[in-house]
Amino acid sequence: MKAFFSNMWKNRAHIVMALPGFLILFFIMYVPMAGLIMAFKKFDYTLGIFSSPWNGLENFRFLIQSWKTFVTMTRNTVLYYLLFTVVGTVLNVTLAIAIDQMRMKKLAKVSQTLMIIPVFISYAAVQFIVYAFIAKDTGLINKTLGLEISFYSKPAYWPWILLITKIWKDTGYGSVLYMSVLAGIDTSLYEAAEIDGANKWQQIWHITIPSLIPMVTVMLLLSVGNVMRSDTGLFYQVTRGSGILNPTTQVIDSYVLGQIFKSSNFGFPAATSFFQSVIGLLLMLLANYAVRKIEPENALF
Amino acid sequence: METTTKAAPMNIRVGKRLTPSQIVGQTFLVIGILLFTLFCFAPVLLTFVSAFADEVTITQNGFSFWPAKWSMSGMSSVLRYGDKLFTSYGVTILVTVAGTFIGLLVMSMYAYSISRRGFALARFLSVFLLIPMLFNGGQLSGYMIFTRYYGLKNSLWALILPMCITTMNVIILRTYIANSIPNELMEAAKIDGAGDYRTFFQITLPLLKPSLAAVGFMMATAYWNDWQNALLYISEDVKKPLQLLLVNIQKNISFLLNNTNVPASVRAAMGGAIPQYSATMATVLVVIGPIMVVYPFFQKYFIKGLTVGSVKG
Repeated sequence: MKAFFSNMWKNRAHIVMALPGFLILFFIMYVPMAGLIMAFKKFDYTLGIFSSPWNGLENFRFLIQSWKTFVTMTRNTVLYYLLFTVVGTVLNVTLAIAIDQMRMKKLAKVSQTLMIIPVFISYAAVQFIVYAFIAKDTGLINKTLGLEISFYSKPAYWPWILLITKIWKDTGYGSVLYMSVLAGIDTSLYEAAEIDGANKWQQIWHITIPSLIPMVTVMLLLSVGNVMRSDTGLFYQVTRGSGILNPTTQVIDSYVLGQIFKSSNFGFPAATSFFQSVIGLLLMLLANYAVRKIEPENALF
Repeated sequence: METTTKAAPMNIRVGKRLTPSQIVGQTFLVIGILLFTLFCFAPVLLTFVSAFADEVTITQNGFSFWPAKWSMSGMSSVLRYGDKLFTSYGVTILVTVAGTFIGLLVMSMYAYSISRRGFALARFLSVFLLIPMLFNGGQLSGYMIFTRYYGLKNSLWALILPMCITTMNVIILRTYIANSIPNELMEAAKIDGAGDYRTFFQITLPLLKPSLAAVGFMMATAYWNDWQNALLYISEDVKKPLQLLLVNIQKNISFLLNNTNVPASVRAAMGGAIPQYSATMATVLVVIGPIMVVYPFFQKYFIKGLTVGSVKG
């Protein structure tokens, strides 16, 4: 005990330096965690979260009552996660290999610079750009093809629209990480393969891809904890809040965000948030356990 | 001896001349990359072109990469409702600069502390940092806490604080301190009589610059692009950042489209006429422009930063 206190005194400067970060984390991240108990309360804004009366599992009854909405948005959340992760990973890796294989390095560099730009455009701005393409009367797609499709009222198109938007926004940036792995591959491996008579495809298949696998595994596993969370802007902004599209575009995050403005009864959103946070935690623990089994040094903890 | 003479012409061939099949391969590769670059850049180009396109042309012929008639009216109408835009620019710049500065300072001090050997709390503080990555209260609870208990409604702190510390950024900084700054340097400073604070501010912080540039740029774009916190917490006109301005323009358009019988007085109150295509695109351009201008200068830093962050220390 005495040793502990003398260690604290010796490191007092380090404590002082960590303190601002500690306080911000505590008030911004930790206190809202405690706020999740509002899922078990009859929430009244004037009383606040902590003084509102408990109502047991009452809020989760709403969840059963609106079972269909709940199932739809949970299903959308998970399916979009799967779609974006699978397509995203394949494209990121393909693009990284393609750029890496290019002989015209200057051109590769310029292309890469242009490809990364979309990641820096906020969804509040992206939705106007998407609109320019798919608007009913003035949209580029309808005008060019001579159609009059009202995209904003046809849910069936939206998985595609959102997927393409996501690919456009994130692929250039997503490949950067994999390119840094490719840059680290020992070139003598390729030279040896060349001497052994391996062609380019064989080199990619037997050298490039295997050296990317650890990074891909780790990125995938770490993203598992986010299955229940979405890129809110994509679902909330790009759809322009069109309720007709909910069957294919509403995810948990966009639903909760919408409810904050609309609702006075927070029972259902609170129960949904609680569900989202707890499932997220379980999946994250599971994923970290898996990473520790496969690539111990990449585990988070 | 024999291997070197054999390998030398090999290397020259690999480096310079291509076989016919490699030329075909490279050609396809270049075409593919150019197509994808076009896919990524065309929408940005369309924004740019539409901002300078004639309004009537867009209404009649739709958006296009080469409008029949060009016009400055979109740009000038953006500048005309300049007051709002000017205020919003100020708010966004203030939040971005203050947030990035505070965040970098707080995070690098935290990262430095948890990387000190022999500091008994380092382990606890690392776990304390990691937990928010695993579990968080979500938007609803955060909103209630911030507005009901902290009174942050319509406060710029509601835009700054939620984003100023992220676990991943602290890990990036800590990894850099642990792997790229020799500990002996800091020990030597201590032996020479520098205190803990002086060691951090005069030795560690200057050496941390490449990592600070990478993290700082990513933070700055996150602040610049943040619409969600603004939407949740800011309703006063004088505190609206640029992104919220965009969100509001879109809301007005939707409102007018969904309610055809809006009285003229309401339309007038909503800020004049229906927001127009070219003016809207001009606004988008004005909002996204600064990042696009600054980004190429920071590209090498954030690529390096990403790489460092991927290697956990």
